[in-house]
Amino acid sequence: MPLTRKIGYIDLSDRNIKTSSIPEALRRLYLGGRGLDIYLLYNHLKPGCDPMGPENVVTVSAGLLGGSMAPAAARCHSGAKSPLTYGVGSCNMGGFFAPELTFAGFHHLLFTGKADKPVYLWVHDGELELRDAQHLWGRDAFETQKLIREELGDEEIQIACIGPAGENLVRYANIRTGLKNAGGRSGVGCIWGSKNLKAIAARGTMEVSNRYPLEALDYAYKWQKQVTDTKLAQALGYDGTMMIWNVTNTTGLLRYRNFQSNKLEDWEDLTIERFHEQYHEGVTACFGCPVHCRHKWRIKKGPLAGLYGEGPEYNTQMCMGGMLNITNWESILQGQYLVDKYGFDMAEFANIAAWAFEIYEKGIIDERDTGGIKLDWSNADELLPLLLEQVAYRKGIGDLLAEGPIKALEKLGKPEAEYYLLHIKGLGNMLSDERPTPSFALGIATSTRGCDHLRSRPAIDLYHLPEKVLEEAFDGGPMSSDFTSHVGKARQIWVMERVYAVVDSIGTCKFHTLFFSPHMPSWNEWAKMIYYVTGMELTPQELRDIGERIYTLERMFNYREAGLDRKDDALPERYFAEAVPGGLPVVKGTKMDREKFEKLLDEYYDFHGWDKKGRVPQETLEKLSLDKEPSHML
Amino acid sequence: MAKEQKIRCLNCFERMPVPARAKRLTCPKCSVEYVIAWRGSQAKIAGTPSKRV
Repeated sequence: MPLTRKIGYIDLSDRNIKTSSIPEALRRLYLGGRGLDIYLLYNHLKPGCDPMGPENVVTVSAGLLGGSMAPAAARCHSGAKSPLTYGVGSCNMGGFFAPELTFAGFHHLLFTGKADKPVYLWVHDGELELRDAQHLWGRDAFETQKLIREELGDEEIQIACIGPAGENLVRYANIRTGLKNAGGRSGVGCIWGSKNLKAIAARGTMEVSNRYPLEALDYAYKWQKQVTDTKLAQALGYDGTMMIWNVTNTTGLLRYRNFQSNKLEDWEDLTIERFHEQYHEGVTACFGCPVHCRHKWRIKKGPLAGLYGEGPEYNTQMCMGGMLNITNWESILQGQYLVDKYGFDMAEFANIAAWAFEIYEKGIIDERDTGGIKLDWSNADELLPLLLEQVAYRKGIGDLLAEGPIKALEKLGKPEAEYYLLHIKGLGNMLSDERPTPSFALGIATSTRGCDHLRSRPAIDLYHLPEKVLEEAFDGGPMSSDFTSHVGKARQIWVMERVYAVVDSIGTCKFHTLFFSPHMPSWNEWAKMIYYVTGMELTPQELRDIGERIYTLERMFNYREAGLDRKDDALPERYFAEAVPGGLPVVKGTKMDREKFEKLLDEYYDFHGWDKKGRVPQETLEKLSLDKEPSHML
Repeated sequence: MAKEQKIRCLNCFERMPVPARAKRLTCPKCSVEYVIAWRGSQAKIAGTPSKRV
């Protein structure tokens, strides 16, 4: 059963390794994955430590259902204190690594200290072994995986690793597995690099039995059918996440040339249709997922002929494209290939690179600051490979851009540049323009890992669903169907934060949730699947409470480590100062209203049981059994 | 006979019938004009008219 999966403690400084069972009592409080990882961070990390120092810790995990019959139980989570926000570092990726970790006997790994030279961890059938990785240092993410498989003589080994960006301490370096799966946000790959941890290789043949196997099998089938019957899954299986782009671009919900436009008027070159015609080669999926939302692509002719990869995603379309004023697919695909190879977060790169282009355009920086590069928007496609390389190896202006928002602003020393650098808590804003959508804006402002959509985004808020449907999906009302309204939006974010906290902790995919469709599996389905797989009885309400506990502990971590509270649940000034210049009439001219936003925050804190400063009062701590943390049960 | 297709206006959410193989469609309620793309027999909004389309 998944409940027999262990935790491995790896002290990189003295190479001491031990393993332990995971108490069921803790599973009942935090499930696994992201939930248990924040418990481990809160308990094992020395408060106030330097994120880049040996006192930071790294967690790596599968979810509670990882590797089981539950569909798409493929997600791997990794956590640390973030080098960007100094609060929660938390990233999540699909693929096959987390199931393989489960087959090898483990659900959680906890790294402490710092290795004196590069190492990788070999996890196989209940054993943990640190191995020399000096020959892998300097290798990119593709080469690293290939070389480890060759060295260990098994093509089935699954590997999570960092690329050169992690080694060079790019603050938004990520972790990677396979061709494109990335644990991207919040710079966890940088912390792996700071510990000289190059990779984890996993291979296992240990049985993952289910507590009630026939019922689990039957229920997995029902779950799969529930998912694949939705129009959303059918669209995802054909277009991938880029299915959204036509709608969001047409409406005017995206971000072009940093924040200067919210719609691409001449949109023909950047469409999914153009990608399908010229580059699409098929689709593939993560472990156990019937949706297969990931494209396989290849450039067939021209100077980049032969380049291939997986993806791109909606995120790629905009981060390597629209945000940087690039609309030709080959530059975008090459950009994605390079970030996959070097190993850093394309969203964070796009945000800070777009900022550099805009402040160059506005004359705040010039060629003396850029190492002679003319950061002209019209040349962005030609400059992209150079800038990506400079960031990965911290050369030229790349050394500044590699620092992420807060440190880059400090180093540049030009206060007038601050207004143009969009970030929340130190994590850069992504591809969306949230000014017309109060729900999305609240979500990025309150996200525990800094600006990010995958902590809470209720994408179905855009669908204009009947209020009754929305009220059922979000556990109550009142709830407006209008995405520009503030009514019910605090509730939406509160519910989605708990949904994602639980899904990230059982290790299934967010695309199998309320994220995109009200017809997807939810609390009842998760409770049943957990019972059939593990035998643990948890009610839907208990799962909601677990989500609340996880989110609140992340909140406590942020306050303890970085003093983050209401003042940091803020939007960039541009959201209030500048109206959206384009898009459909419903959107054009909108901007965030400060007074309404503050009311939304009050409402949101009330749902969570936090005080007006966004801090967690004693009674909420007690209600969630958080009053004794750190409790050192694991 | 093929079922009549409807798509929703992204501006006012009115459901609009789409004539077979139509390339343009104007919302009868709010007058926003769209460019329509077809995948087989399935219509969808590709964008609003641009300089090229």
